[in-house]
Amino acid sequence: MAAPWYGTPLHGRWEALDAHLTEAAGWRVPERFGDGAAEVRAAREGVALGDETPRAKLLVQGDEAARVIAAATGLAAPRVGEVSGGRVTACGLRPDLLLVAAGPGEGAGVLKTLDESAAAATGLMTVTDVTHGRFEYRIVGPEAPRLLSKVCGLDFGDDAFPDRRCRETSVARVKALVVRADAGELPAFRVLGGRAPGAYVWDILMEAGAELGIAPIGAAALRELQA
Amino acid sequence: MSGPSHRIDPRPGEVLDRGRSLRFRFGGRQYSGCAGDTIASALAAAGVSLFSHSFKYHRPRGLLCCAGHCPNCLVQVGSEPNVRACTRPLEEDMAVWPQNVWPSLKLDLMALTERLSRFLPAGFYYKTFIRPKWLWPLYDRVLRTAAGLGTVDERTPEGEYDKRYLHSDVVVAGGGPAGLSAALAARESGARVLLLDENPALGGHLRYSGRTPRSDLDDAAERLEAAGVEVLTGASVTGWYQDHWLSAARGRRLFKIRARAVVVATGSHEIPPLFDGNDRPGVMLGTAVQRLLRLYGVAPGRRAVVVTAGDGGWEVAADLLAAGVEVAAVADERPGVEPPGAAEVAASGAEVLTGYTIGAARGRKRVRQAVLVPVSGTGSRRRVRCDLVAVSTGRQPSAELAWMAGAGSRYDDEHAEMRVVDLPEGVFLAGRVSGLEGPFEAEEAHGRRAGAAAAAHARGAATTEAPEPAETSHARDDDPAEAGQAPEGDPQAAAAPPGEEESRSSALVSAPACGGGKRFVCLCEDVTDTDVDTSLAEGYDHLELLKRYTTIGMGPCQGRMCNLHGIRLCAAGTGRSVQETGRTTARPPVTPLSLGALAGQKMEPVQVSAMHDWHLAHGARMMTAGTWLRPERYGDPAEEVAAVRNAVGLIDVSPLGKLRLTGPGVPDLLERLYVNSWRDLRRGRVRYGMMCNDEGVILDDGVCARLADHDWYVSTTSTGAAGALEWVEWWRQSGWGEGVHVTDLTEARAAVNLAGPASREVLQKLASRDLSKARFPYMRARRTRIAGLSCLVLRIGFTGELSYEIHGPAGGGQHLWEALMEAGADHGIRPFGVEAQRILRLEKGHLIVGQDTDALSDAISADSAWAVKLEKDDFLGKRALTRVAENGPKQRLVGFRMTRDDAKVVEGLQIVTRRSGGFDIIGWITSCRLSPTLGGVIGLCWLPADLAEKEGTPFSVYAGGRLEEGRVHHGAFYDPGGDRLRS
Repeated sequence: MAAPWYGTPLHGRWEALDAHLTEAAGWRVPERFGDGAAEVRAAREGVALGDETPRAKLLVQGDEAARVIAAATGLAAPRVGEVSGGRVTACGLRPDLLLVAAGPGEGAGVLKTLDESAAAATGLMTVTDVTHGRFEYRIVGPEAPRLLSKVCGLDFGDDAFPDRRCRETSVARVKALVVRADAGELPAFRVLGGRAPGAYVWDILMEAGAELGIAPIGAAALRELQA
Repeated sequence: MSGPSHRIDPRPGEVLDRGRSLRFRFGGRQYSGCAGDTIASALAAAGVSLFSHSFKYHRPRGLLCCAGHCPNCLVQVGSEPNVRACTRPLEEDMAVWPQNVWPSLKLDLMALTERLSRFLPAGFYYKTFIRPKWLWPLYDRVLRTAAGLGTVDERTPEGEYDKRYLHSDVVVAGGGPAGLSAALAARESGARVLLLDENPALGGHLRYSGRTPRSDLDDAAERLEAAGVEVLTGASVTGWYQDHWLSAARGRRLFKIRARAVVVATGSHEIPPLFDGNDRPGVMLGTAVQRLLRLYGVAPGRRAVVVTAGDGGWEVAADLLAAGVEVAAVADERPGVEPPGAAEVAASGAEVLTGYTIGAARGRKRVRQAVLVPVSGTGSRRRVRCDLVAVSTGRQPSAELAWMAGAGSRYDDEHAEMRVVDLPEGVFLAGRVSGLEGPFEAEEAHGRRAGAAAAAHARGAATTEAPEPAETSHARDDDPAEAGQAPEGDPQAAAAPPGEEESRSSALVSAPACGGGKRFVCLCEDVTDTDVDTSLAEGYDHLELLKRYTTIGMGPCQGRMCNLHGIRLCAAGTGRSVQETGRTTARPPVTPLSLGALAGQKMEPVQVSAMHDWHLAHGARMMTAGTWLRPERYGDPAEEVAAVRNAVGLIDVSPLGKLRLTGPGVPDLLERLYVNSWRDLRRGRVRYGMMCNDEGVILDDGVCARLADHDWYVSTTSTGAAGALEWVEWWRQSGWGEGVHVTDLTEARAAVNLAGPASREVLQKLASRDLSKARFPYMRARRTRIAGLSCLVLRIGFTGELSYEIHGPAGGGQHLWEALMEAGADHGIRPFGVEAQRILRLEKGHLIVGQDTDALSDAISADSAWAVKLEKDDFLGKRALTRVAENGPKQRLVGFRMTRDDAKVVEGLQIVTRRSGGFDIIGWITSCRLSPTLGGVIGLCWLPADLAEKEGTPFSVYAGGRLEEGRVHHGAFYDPGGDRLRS
């Protein structure tokens, strides 16, 4: 029996995009698409789109969500629409609903500590791993706000949507969470939505970004930009 | 129609690149123009004066406004109809065709329509084409052909359109002198500013009126952008919506703009006067003449007559003379005036006639003569030979946006203009749109104040005060905008003219009669003043009625050219004042938009499972189920059915809704939402559940598994998943969900159903736990590893066979699928699609919510009384279902089998009984398939309860003109005892 592996919603696209795949915590994702330097350049000068679906995502639900997260991860509780943390982050979706995100493969560990913390809560708490239920795309580059303004009605200006903020909205008519997560000096966003329309959203973003010179970007370039 | 070149020597401000020639075709004939030309300017330079024929009478039409307002130059460019030639930039190899001509522009036989004009008054089609009714399709075809506006080639590939959302503190609509200064002032006040202008370059009327040094305009956009203003040229603001939500269009892109404050700096536009033959090619607005002369280096005629009601016409005359065009006469409506420049014009040899206006333009395909008449009605007429009549007799504020925003209007009798009053909060006027006339410095000062006021409003600085034009027609040293303060003034101020009047509109409703020719009020729809009089006489004496009856203002110009004429004629005809008559409601769009731009980028979300690529690679024919794409079949559905019945099959059921419900309150919530009982469901058990609304109508169904005391896994139908989640959340948040959390896992779990007698054996190969019947019986749930993935397995099925529903992490969906296919290879496993599943479930007599039920189907009538626990505490639908149970259902969902095994019946057919002279409909078929297992046609149908009650009762299906007999069948057709699925 073959070893289990995980594919993102774009798994079927990689061959056509000439992707060099790598594996991260069992997930098959592109390390690069041909010339990695060109990907970094596209991100620095225009806009690039990467697939970070393997990142762990956990929903923490309940009135004591902030306290549970703080106890489990040490993160300051974000208010609704804000993001706290670094390697592990928490996004405030509702006063009683937060999304905790971490690197690929870190979900089980975070889930365990969250579950333990939730067990100590006085009220009802529910922690659910929704990693497999969400696509997560990274849009990086100076043209990222312009690209998003073609598919989403939010104001992506620096004042209205600064770094470390999040909004639940619709992207290309799909319910989505948009998180501003700049890559150094570069404006960058994460777009998270239901897995099933993930390929559709990717296609729409690539189509909308064509005039901006959008390029797909692999894990290697994303690491370099984040460094 | 065409002659020697009308191109004149280059002039400052010209937008042409004369070194770059572009070839194109118009009406099949080759022409050439320069880079920078519009289609219209290139044709005008080539001496073309005839562009199209009119909508109704097919009268020749030529350039009128050169500003993209009127309908006269609508042409077909390639496959794109209704292109305004006067604004569309010329491109190499463009194929341009005139519109609404047959067979050609030169010889349009449809022009014979005009001979019948006395029989074609306004509204004739309402009266003429009523009877006989059966001829309407013919009328429709003929009318559409005769009155078409271009043609749509359905073979044309889809264009690429998109939209963009923009956000700004202050949006300035209009990039003339007032708009430019408003934008800068707002930006200097710290606001985020967006400026839009419909023209390709900024400057507004300064670009062609020659009132300012051109160097001020050349880099206007750069200066604004350097200051931080976002600039969009070539973008028309097409509508204002609630809360300063604006739409704008540029080419194939639609902008949706959210603003905190809006500065309307859209200027004013000229309107043509009413006189005999006012639509003849060669009759042009004065500003159109100036545009052609100054921007495109085109002399639109050789010998001109200029008609004016203010100083503007004299400027046009001077421009024509400077371009070497002979000015034969200037007629100024004002008696005895001596405006600036008049002496120079007179010195050129032009006849100067004050107290005169134009009474008629003679000629057909090109004006040949202007008849000038005294305004007073006394005095001699002058007939002047000419090929161009430049009219500068009327100007109206382009205030549609302000009116859409809710501003009021006041008719200024003295200046014959409809002015804006009572501005709504957050809307500001700047420049000529407010009625301001004067040197451009006055417009700039006005714009500065408006921009500062708008910025202050956007900041929430407690002011909605707009500048008062009368005070701001001249720049002031103490201009508060300079100091960054909110300006003072009356926020309700309407525009008032400045002291030094420079231009005015004609007060004449129409010129004195001059020979009985047609005077067109509405050029788009070919409505004459006689049509208006007739309509008024017929009782359409309210402006809105008049508009709808005559269609004035409903064409491509959207009323810009004709609205005021309509109002004034209505007022004159009814004896009311223009103010009393009012104006028609301003509605978006200000200018026509293509449907493509409105639609934008094609965005139709499609959901696919993690196994989608595998399905495609293995020949699946996909079908849509809601927004999901699912395999309908991989080959022959009958073979897929056989595989499930005899060996093992695998179906992707990932679209099933999947909810995780946690908390101690879950059983209570489920008890209320479902008709079934839940409190007694033990851990590890699964139960079928049906949800109804409070009328007992079935909403959804699925299974609920109790995984732990406070942890439940609930599945719903595929297409009803979103609705079911919303329903559960609604009631959870409405007070029934105390102590319950709901998490949607629909897309987090890939789900497959492994079905068939060999399914246990196949699954056991991959499972980490014992799946024997003893350890894992029917209607149980187990967490186990399948192919190395952590999965939840439910021993349930829809097919009637031993089967397992496996829910695993979506990312591992394809791995899970491939592992199962590999493990089942020895057993002849086959993937099966939705079609096979529908046959399989029908053989078991299972209903599908939404297919076999509708918005009136209650659970008891739908043969699901076994699931309804009326004895339990209150639940949604209990009262309604209790009544049905007590009174008995009127209709019942019941199985049937057709008597003939090859009967041709399909879903949706009606079940009938004979009566004298016909049939009565008594039921209908909801599901129907040829069962490969049973070798006959089976299905589900709704029948009157008494008929459905007895097994074997015959009934008739009306199928293609004949009756087919079916018989009632109770229970499952296949394995009625359920031995196979429990095995």
